[in-house]
Amino acid sequence: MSNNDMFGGSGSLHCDPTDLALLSLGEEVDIDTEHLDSCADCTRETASLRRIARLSRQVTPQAATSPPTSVWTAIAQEMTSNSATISSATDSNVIPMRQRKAPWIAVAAAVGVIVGSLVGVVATAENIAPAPVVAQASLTPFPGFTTTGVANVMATDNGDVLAVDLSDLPPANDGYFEVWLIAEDATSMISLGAVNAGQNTQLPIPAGLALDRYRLVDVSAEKFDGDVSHSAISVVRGELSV
Amino acid sequence: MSDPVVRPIRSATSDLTPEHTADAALTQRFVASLAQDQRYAHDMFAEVYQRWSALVYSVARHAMRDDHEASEVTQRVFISAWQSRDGFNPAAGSLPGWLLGITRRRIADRWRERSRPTSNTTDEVPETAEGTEDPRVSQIIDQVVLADELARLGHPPGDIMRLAFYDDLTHVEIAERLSLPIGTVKSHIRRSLTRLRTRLEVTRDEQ
Ligand SMILES: [Zn+2]
Repeated sequence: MSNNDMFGGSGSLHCDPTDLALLSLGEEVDIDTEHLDSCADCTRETASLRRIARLSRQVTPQAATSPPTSVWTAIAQEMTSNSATISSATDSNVIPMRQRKAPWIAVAAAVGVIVGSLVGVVATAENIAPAPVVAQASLTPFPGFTTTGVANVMATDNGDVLAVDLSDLPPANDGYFEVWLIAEDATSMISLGAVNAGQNTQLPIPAGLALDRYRLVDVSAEKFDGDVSHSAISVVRGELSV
Repeated sequence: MSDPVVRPIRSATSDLTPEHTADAALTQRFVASLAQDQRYAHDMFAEVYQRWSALVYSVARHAMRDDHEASEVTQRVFISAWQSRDGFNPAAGSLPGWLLGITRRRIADRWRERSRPTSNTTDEVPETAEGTEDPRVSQIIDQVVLADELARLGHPPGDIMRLAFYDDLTHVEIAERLSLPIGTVKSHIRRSLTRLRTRLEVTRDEQ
């Protein structure tokens, strides 16, 4: 009777939905034609599926193509620029990031946050006792970027450091890339310093920083403009597993 | 640490439900972000872009028949969407429907711009009045959405539907060809057809 439930039936038993699907593809199906002809629900369902079959036959299966990365870069710039074209009343709430002093509410749900799972040991150099890795984050790219990387928190004799390894970075364009630790509840963030592609950049983590709170590792694209705040253009991000 | 792996943000799904749930969750987070700090909304918008830009771009490519113009349209669509994000009402339509509605208008803009300077000689794109529904864009959207969804049906549902749609095999013949039980093939056909229909409905759900 589930067929009746499905169509909220009236009177006689509805046709099997699977049979209707086959019918809509043009197959010959042993079906209660008397019911089909007289039932609006079954007729509508068949017509609807028949339309899907017809439209599907007009196309070639092909996954949608992603736009070039330059498209997101341009959008992100527009989103944060002072000169954003404002064309309607609803646009007035677009406030350039740079001017904001409000708490920095970001999220673990942000694009590409992948929780690092490996907690191991890395050798910092030959013949030197490896510093234990106490936390790790896989860094995954924001839209428009292809950079990936890994960030390790290592306990050294001189305190914790964040070791950052990045694959290719985009062109710096009169700028540089900066590493941030962002609080889990995203109410605050601190800058650890600049980073370049490839190399194992080791940045000291301030002693006393509650690492279990500052769990998001973020790398942003910055300009040499003297502004110390986050540019709002993140390249990669990842969450530390402590 | 060598060779970090780029992990997909969303793994391919072979069933309607998980993807649907993920899309619904994304919509919810996007709406929630609108009331939050700018930075949060910014991040969420990046995620929305990640999820839907390929669809917008593909529609634009088919409409403009030019990759560069398609990039420009895509850029305009998402900038428009960002600027008017407070106008998105999840009760009135779906998130992709909203984005594709904007896409429709930006494509119409470009078509108008394109046909304006040139004389009415061999213009295959006739001028449309502002704000009118252009059936050609609707058709392109349907085609792009279906082509994309068909490509994402996976195995074996995608194989089954290809054989049914393009090789005109019956479910019995498909079962034989793929060495699958007849019942399995039948239920895949039913489920795939409804999944394609749902996807089409969701993206048409403009506001
Ligand atoms: Zn019926």
